[in-house]
Amino acid sequence: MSNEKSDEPARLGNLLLQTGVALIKSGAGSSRIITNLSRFANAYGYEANVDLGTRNISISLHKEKRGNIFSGSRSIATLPGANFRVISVISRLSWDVMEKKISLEEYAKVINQVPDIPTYKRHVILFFTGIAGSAFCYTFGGNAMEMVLTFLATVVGLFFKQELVIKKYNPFMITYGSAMLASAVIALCGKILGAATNLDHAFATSILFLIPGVLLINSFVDLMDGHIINGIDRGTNALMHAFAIASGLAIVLYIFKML
Amino acid sequence: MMPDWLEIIFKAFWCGCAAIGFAVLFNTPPRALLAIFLGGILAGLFKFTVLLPEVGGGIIMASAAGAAAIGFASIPVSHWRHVPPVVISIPAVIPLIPGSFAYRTMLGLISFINQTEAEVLTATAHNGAMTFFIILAISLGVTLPMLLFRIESVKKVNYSVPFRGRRKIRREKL
Repeated sequence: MSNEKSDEPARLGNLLLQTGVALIKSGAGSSRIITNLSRFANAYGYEANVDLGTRNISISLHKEKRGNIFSGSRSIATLPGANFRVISVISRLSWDVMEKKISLEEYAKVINQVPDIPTYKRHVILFFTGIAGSAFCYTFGGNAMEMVLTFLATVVGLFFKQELVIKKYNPFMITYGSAMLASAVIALCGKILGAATNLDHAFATSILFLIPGVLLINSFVDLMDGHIINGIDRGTNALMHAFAIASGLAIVLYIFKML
Repeated sequence: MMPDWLEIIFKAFWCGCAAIGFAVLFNTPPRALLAIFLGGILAGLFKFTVLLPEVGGGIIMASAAGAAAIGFASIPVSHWRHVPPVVISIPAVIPLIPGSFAYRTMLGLISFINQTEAEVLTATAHNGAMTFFIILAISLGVTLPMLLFRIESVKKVNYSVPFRGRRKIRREKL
């Protein structure tokens, strides 16, 4: 029993690191991660000091009037993506820990299930993102035909992107390739339909599914919260994605002599 | 020609569709999807109403208004759907992202390789500044409730009370 008590900080620390990594990977903002982790640590009577990057996390735990009783860090191999189901599960868990005082075992059980959290079926994602593309096209002033083309281009581009993600390509190359393919679909349809058709809206909106929206908003939120380095990090990441999109689009426009 | 209000409703509806699409792309829990759809509609209504010539708010004000509406709405709604507010607010503001300004900025930068006229540069700089300020306005709008009420947790926000009557608020997980 006493043995269990003494290794509690280490177990809690490792769970916190796992939680932090899961939150970073699913695209939570820096303040949100720190708030959640402190909530967990406080519930078990510890204070957590978190050093947070966008690809690494270090946590030190200490109890009042006692020195450091746990330090650990983790680094993350990939750039963060977006998975809001993970954020919801962990947020829910943090309230369970705070209010129902669930044990470390139960906490560990939920955290270990995080990698198995289901995603939407692939065709569902493709369909809804296609709808989002044509919705953008409408709000930008596109007509019905452009909306259909945007749907098609988004579905083809996103399918390609998912394939590349499975094959673990560089994320910026994935964005570049998908932007190229999506705009190539529009350009080809333009060629088939003849030169008289103006597809500007379709071009502008066919690549919008690649816009790193979570990164952009998190970047500014981090800057506002005073996590300047993380804000700049995310902002630069978003900018590189934007440049990848621009280059993909530029190549297609150049090939089809539209620029 | 559609009357203005009808066009606003159409555009707002499609904003909602875009929000849902991105919610699915970000793997949002299914229980939040309806709230995100309504949030996207709300953002669209605010944005395109402020953009009307009668109101004359300009695109930056319009985006900020839409985002702030979502920022405030996301707090009671996150109680309702048991998800953190960011899960609702981020997909719902995605339709406000200035895609066309960003697109024109990128194309402008690329065309600056061949065309060295000052007009290309000024137009590109203008589009770039608009992109930057609109995104700034969106993120400010979304975080506005957090900044105003110095919220650490949405469970402690008082204005969720009217949504449940004056009854005792059930303590629910967010």
